[in-house]
Amino acid sequence: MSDLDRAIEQLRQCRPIPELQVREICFKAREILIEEANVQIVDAPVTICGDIHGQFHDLMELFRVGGDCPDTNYLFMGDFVDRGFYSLESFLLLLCLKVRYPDRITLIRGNHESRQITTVYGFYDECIRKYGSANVWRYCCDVFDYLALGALVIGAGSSVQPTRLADGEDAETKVREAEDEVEIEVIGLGGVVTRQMSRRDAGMINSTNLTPSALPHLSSSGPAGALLTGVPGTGASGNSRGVANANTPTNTGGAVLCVHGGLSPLIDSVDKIRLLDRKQEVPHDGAMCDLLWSDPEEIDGWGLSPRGAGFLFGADIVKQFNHLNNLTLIARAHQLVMEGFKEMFDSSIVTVWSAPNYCYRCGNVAAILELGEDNSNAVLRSGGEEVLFNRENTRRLASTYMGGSMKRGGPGRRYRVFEAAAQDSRGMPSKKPMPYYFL
Amino acid sequence: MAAPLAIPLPTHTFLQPQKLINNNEDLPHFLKSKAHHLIVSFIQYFSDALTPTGSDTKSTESRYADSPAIVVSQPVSQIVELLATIEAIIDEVPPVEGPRRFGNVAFRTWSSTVEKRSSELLRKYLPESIVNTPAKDDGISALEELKVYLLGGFGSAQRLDYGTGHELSFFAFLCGIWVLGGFEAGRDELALVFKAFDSYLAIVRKLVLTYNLEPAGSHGVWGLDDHSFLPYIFGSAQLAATPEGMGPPAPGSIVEANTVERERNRNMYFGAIGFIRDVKKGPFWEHSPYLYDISGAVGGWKKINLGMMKMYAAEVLGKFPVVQHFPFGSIFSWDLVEGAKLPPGFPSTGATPTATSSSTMPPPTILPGGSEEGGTKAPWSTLPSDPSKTLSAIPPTARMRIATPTSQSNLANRVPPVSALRGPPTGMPPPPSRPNIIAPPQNITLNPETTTTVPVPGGFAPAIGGVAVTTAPWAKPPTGPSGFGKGNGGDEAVGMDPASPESVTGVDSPVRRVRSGSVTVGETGSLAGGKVVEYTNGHDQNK
Repeated sequence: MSDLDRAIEQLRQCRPIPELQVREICFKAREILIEEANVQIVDAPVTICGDIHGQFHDLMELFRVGGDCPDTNYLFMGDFVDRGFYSLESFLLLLCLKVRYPDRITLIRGNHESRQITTVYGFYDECIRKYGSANVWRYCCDVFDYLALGALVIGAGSSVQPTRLADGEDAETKVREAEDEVEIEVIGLGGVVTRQMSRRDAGMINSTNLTPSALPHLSSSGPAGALLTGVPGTGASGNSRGVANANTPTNTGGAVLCVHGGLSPLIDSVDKIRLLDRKQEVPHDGAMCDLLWSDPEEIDGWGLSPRGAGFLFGADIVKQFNHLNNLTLIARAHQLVMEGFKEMFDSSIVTVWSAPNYCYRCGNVAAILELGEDNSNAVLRSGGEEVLFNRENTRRLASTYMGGSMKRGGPGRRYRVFEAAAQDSRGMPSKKPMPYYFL
Repeated sequence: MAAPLAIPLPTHTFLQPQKLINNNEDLPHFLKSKAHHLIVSFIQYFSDALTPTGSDTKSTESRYADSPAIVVSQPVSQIVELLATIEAIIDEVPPVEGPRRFGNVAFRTWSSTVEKRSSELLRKYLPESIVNTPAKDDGISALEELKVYLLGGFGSAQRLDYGTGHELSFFAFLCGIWVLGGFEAGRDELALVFKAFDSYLAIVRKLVLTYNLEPAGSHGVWGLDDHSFLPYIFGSAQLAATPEGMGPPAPGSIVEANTVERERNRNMYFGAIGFIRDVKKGPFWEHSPYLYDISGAVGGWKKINLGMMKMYAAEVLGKFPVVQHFPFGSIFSWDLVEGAKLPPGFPSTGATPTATSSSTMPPPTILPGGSEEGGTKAPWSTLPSDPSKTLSAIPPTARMRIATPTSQSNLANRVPPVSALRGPPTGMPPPPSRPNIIAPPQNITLNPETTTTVPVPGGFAPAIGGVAVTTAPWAKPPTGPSGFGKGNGGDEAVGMDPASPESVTGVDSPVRRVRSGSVTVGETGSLAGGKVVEYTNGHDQNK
């Protein structure tokens, strides 16, 4: 077992690793991240996650629900740190996984991955409390500067693929019975499919109908929880459906832009994001700041953000951006959603929130978004050409795709909803470091 | 122990309280002002009054909230009735059903209802001597001056949040009545805290739960408390005479559910802890590490009491985001205390303090204690054995005039309406012009279009006390008719949309204004081993 694997094991148990090792891992992480593009290209299948905010035990719950890394390909949309008690353990675990499995986990930057914000909202205090010095905080902040600003998920399938159940029965049967392919599936608490929407269903999913109280309230450690441990909605069974769907007009779900906050008035194309010099502290304004701070809102055009950074942007902005950039969806995080996820503007943008019972008191559930791979499996239709979809030509493909005139349909989306991990088993710290005023 | 001096009603000219802390540069003035001095004196005064006179059980129990020895005089019971009336209005205004984003907008209805009835209520419940004091030619009535502080005490209708700035306002309301002779020293102290202030806390907790008011400036687990501060000062004072290790409850027992349940109705510290336990799930040490750490303080409740007061001076009174809404009139005067000096470490130039002031870090620049210099140091900084010495230093507050208010930057005029900037329909609409970062938005008047369409789109559901939003520390929370100074010309255009974020007005709101790209983090003498960490915002530096 390598040092790195040992560190991962230790962090999985929520135990911080030594300062020197943090330094080493942060250094390695920077070497990996520096090679990544501002907008990292990610192949579906991928599981997209929102804010974590130091809720380590809930992050473990997320992995239990979504599958472990590297079995599941993950994309985290930032805000790993601040507010929660375990920002350090959460971020370092994700970072170790990044170093260990660079192609299986993508981390992009949130507005909290910043020196200034972390000194105000807790991560700095946490590092001081846990290490007695700011060194670890500084190592982490140096990594923050190298995190990608966004990601582009390509090759996502247009319909939700069957999830495999623990007893071997395939939910595919159910899907086949449906008249249309399933565009949206929601798996509520306890791993029960609570909602399926076919592509023919008009309108967007209204997650407000999916209140936590309406969900079966099952313990995640109960028998039903075990259903979730299978490899989720991935291409494992893709072949079996390939034929059936080969003739559908849109057999890919199109490209999905993932960014922590949202759009910027200064950014009208994904390529413009690529031009930014991202290796710096998050500025107080400008395109880079906006990507990390903005929020969608029911307005026309742009509005000033009450946050004091970034902007509010309306449906017209999103639709136009998606149209111009051949995107079918923008996935973002940044705002608490009681139901864990929220699609807005005719499903052109979705907020994914992955910190259940935020701040120990909000009572919200969390969600992750699974994008399956294109069910035509390895073939993308673009401009009449059939292009073999593999890692080697990913970049070429991406650019073709971006400029292509492909008919778009939203990707098949499976939302897995989960709630906060059980908390009673956590031990109490033996030390009580005394805050300054009380010395 | 002497109570702060009274204002002679017949000769006094009352003034309409005004917001005068408009930026960080105004903070040093505030810290040297008579208002600051008065607030600090009262906190010390009540804390002393709540501290048992002996270490025996009998003394300790005499300072419990349920002690039969507590006399509720007529003036105090009138205040309690006033508060009961205000609380009853909550039942009149049920929260609005349906999806909503942050706090419940019904709170605005509640707030305006209270405001509408406030003058009548004050006339009914305040001491006659105050009610019957007419306004002087160039001033307003005593009632009107006091009203501003009462109305500022129940959270911000605009932002749908509540924090220690509001708590301070209500405390000022009580103190204001005191200096106008409404209460009697030696008789009313305990009842004011255990009956009047406790009733207030009950209202606030009910408001928070009913309308999902956000903590003003939440930092998750890394703050003292989402909403309150004074209960920790008063509650620790109640137990401060008990020698360490003697007699229940020990500070460490805040984690014991049964102890908290037993004590919460008679001790304010435990009352506050009890409320936290009501609303938060999870291990106490995890969701409230600051309180947990404090519970191990060597020196027991006395030490905790002193620490709380130091922390209050630095984190509440010393923080621009918290005190910026505090209005100044004739009772809480903006005038300087003669010969007042800033607390040590506070830059006399009035520059932005580089305080980081987070929980475990030392509160850097606005240290109240430590110096033996004269002037307006916080009374507890050197904590004389006889507190009356400190209190006697308060100058009479009669006949003061308000300092010229600093002109408010009218940024709204500089921010053109978004619609005016719309580009041609084909391209991406151009952005609204950015608020100037150096002088961040103040009184932002959002583009009316935005303001009208924003209202709680069926978008993000609320949190229970939705601690959802991160605001940029470099941005001033927009000000407006909120919280403080509601009666203070509060008819100006509503600047903020209902989906406004938490304001940064929490206790635990170590917000620094960063005006340049350079930020100093960490201070010497920290727990971290005295490391000084500096970093520079590379972006700005490159400019």
